[in-house]
Amino acid sequence: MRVGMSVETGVRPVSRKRVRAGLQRRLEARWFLLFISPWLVGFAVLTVYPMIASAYYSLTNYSVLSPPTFIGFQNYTFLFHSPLFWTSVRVTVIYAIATVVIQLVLGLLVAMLLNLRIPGMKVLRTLYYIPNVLPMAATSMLWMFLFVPRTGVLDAALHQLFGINGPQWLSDPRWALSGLIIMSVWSIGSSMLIFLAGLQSIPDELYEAADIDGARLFTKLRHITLPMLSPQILLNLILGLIGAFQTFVQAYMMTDGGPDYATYLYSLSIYQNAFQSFHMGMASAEAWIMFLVILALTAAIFKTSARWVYYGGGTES
Amino acid sequence: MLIKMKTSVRAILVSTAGMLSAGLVVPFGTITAQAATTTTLTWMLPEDPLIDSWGNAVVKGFEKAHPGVTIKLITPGSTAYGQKLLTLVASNQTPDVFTDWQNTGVYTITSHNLALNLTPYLKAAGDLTKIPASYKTEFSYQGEVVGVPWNSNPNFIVYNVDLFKKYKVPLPPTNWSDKSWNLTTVLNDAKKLSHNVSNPKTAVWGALFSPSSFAFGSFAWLWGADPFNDKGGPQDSSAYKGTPVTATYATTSGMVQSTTWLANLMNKYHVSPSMGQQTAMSALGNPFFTGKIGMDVVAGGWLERQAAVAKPTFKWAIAPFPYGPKGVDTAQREDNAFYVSRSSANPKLAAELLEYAIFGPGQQELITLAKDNPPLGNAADFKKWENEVFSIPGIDMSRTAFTNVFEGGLKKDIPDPSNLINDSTDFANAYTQVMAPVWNGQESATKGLQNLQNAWQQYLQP
Repeated sequence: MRVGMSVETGVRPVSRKRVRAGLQRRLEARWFLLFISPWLVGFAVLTVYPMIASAYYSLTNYSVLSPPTFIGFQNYTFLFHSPLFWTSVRVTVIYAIATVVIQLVLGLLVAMLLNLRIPGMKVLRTLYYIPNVLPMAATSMLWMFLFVPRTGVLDAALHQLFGINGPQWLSDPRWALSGLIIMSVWSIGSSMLIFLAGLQSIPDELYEAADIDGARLFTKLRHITLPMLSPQILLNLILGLIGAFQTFVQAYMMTDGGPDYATYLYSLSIYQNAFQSFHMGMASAEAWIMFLVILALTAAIFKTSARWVYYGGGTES
Repeated sequence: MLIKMKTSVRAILVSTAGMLSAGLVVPFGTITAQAATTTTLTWMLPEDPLIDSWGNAVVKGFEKAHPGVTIKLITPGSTAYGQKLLTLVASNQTPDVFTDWQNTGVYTITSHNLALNLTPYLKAAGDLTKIPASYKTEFSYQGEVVGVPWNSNPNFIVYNVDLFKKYKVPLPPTNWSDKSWNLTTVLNDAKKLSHNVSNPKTAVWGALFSPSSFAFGSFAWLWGADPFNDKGGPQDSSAYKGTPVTATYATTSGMVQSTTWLANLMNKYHVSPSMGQQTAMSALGNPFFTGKIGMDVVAGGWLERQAAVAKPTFKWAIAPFPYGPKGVDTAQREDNAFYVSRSSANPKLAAELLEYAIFGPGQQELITLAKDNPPLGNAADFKKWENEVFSIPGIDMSRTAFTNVFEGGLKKDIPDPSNLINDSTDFANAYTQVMAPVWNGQESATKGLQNLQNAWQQYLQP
């Protein structure tokens, strides 16, 4: 008989230490639940419940002003047959691709410049980030003035630099979306900041070794900087994509989706259906379609990320 | 020692519990007593410095006259009024008294069963006869009065007297029956007033008839057309009388001609700023106050909500809406009414609040505080309001002329279709979007209206 076993049963009696540890864990779990409960309650009430409710409303004819009536998948069928729905999808996809590319390319470029060791760099970094802390409503008003035909800053610059008159930016269906895309340059601060943090975590030895091997700037960028920054690129890609799909304020304040639906972004379409046209059921269906599309895109990006994202300590499981 | 300590602790606990329960009982007792005597009504007004000061005065007066009644005034942003109403309805908190604002008009409200039949309350208070017949018709549904107007403003032309005099253009008439004041005259005057239009910094434009203001009516009506019938003007559109929109007629010749005329102001004659310039100028307020616009079409609310605030630095006056090719000068009128919620727990009290605000002491306060004209046809009130208007800087016309123009509009104009058509937002949004290429000169009026007709088909109501 081994030491510590009970004579009658042969089972090792549970030590007092283990009992205390178990109690401690349970106590910790209780405290954990207690402290996290405000968030859990908020998540349940403000996220889970609205999601479940909107899933139900998407299957109803619901004007908000009258009680909902169940209509199955009619809202989804209507949307898939509605030219306006596809217009909003097309506009949003173009906007998302353009702005995500701008956020990634310009964000990286600016981050690389701001990573140089020159005097006053902290001030420059702050200046580049400031637009991100400004309210989008104020930024939208500012850009409306920049886009004023003939007398706006943008047109004045075009006239001074190239001797040409700019288009009717926000009131011309051919240019309005370009206007909103140009405006997205204003908010590269977040992606720039993430890239900057990534750049600063790349060990200098890698570049020193490359220098010894005679690598040029582009080679270092391609074989050191980009692979080492790939986690940040992944993060910015996903955040940028989600942000682009949810863009609303600019289109609402500057163009109201026009002219001729040229800036009819998907989120604006949801808003107008819900709060202006009293089609809350249809707006809920649109919201769910967007949620599923973003989910699918994010999943697809994550799936491919194993092939192109490099984590310093090995691949992220 | 230990026993002593335990006893002390117990004593402290007991006394604390006693104090706590006493403390709890007292406030609860007070609350219960108050709940028994206090009734709360909710009243929703659009946020506006002048209207809200009136609202606050009415609340104060009503609460004083009705001890135990508390009014909760809700004032969402003017452009968010519809949304706020929608969310309150959705959360079963429909305000006891609310108004129609933006595109939430009388038939949208009644078709969704939101408004209470006010006829019995108005009859009992003897106020039914105080509502002019035209408004009674406008705010009735199935023969019963559901809304009472508190605000009514006709459309008219406002013009810059200084510019007219500078470029030696005869001033427009003040008489609605003067048929020489027609679109031909307006265009000729606009041409004479327009200068340096190629340079936006120094340009003066003859007219600013922003197409977005006429989504459904006014200019088409001058050609004897209307997009919701193929027979004639607005009088033939059943969609303005509470029936669903089952067909649209955007491509009739009157619609095409009126649209072409409006687009030509910008693209052919260049007497009006381009849409881009209009948007930019509007971002800072009404472009008319820049002093670079000869004529503009505005509704009466412009007087108290814009001119009184902007304090123009030039002389200005108002003129009737011009006659069109069909010999009619029908314009649209912006009316707003108060409604009592069908789900109100205190409908009688809510109706009393509505009556206090419109027929009672609130009527005078509307003039003095909101600078608004009560639409009840009372000559003394109109004079009082006129005094307020004539305190706005720059007004340059006689009081008689002002009365002729304003009251003439009230009598002749037809309520804004956006406030009449059930769920008009779909039609209005489609119009704004689809017609943009026409105003930019990228599409003909015919093509644009055909696109509009196609776009409207998905919004037809069963």
